[in-house]
Amino acid sequence: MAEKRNGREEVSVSQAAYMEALQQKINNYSSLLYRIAFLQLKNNQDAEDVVQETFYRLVKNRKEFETPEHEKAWLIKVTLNGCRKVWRSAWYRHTDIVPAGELPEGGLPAGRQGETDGAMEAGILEKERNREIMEAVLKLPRRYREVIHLFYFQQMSVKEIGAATGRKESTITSQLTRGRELLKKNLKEEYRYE
Amino acid sequence: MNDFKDCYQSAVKDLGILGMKEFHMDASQCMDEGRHNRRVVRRMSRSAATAFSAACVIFLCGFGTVKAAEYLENVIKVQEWGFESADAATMARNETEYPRTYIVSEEVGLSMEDDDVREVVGGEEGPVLLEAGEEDMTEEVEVEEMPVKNYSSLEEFRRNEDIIFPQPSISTEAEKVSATVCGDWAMIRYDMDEKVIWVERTDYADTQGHASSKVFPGGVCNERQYTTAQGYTYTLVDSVKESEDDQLQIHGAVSVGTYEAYIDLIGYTEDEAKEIIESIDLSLYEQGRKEDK
Repeated sequence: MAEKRNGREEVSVSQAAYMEALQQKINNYSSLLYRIAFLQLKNNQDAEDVVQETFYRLVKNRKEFETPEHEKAWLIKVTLNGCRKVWRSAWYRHTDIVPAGELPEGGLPAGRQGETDGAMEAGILEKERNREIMEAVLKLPRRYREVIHLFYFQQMSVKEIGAATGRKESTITSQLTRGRELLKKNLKEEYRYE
Repeated sequence: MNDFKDCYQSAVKDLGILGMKEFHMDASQCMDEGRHNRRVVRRMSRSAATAFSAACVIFLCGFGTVKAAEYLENVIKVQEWGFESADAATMARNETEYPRTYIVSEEVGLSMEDDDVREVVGGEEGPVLLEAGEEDMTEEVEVEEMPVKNYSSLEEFRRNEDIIFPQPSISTEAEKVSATVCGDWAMIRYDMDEKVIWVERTDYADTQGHASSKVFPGGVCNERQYTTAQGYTYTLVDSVKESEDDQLQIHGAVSVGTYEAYIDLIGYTEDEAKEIIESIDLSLYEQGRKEDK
């Protein structure tokens, strides 16, 4: 329902419509935010709390955004801050839930049982490579892990990462460089990083 | 050569290998104030539990004959792994032989059944936690399990506990305050924005000798002394940073009469930390003891 007020068009949204719009935002962003939180905290429960808290803040503050990009950046920033809050609480960094080296052994992904030997082998190799990459990324210090994820998965620019993390672009660049160096050192396979 | 971006994207999409669950959320969940409050309380409880087990106080037993009055000669030493403290007699003895004490590790809100009592052998490399039974236990030591009490505000803590616990001035500005009490040990945590302070104190008046450790995984560095305007001297150290971007974590230890007090400041500068330390009226520990008498 829309109404005119003081020459400006305002959208008066009913509770049901508001909930629907909110659910749409949750559907759009929750998976993205949850992956970010999980990679930072390595723990389902904490990641879930952080994402719920992020949307709680969105609702509570009734934030208005100029663009969807602005909204996404705000959500990522609040999620990262939430992770930091958990992280800083009581030497959290020493309680990693999924220590590297203890990941489940690779097996066939669901639904691949009927594939040919070649495809099965490729699937296993891919699974192993994924495992090796994730172990290497999880071994990175938290700050590097954060920028590596935002750069390579979210495909954010250095400037956008700087805005989301509240750090200078030069710091982000140097953290990316250091993160890549550590990855090169820890990964058996060589990759193109640029 | 594969492209890292492509491979990493594939790996992240396959996060199930790390145990990541599918995440679904209903809009009503993030509009529920009660649910939000429960999350906050749960996080704080977990934090308290982690702090308690990470920076554990080792309760000790069987050291013997030192009387309370001699605690004025409490000794606090800095080791690479954190603080070590004991009454003077015990510390002297510990320097010539490994201390053998028992740690009571309580997880707030969790069962004691799984991981309650472990033997601790200390040495130059710091306490080493051993599972009970891993080494021969030649002497029997009784370990008393003490109840752990949690409070989610300073008011609640004060209402329920009649113990001396001088507060930093910042206690009135904190967004959240939580307290944990276990026997003669008590800890209060103050949350302010992105900064955190823990203050803990232990009263050894009713014991006959003690040895305790406060361990900071990752180690400490930059040992220094700071004497307050009241004349109390804190031993200060910093946590070793994992990276240059890590927040400064300053830890302080001080002994006053039969009390030992520690303060951990996360996210504060050296000057801010000293200002907060100055605001804690340690003379209350001495006054309280006189009143007791």
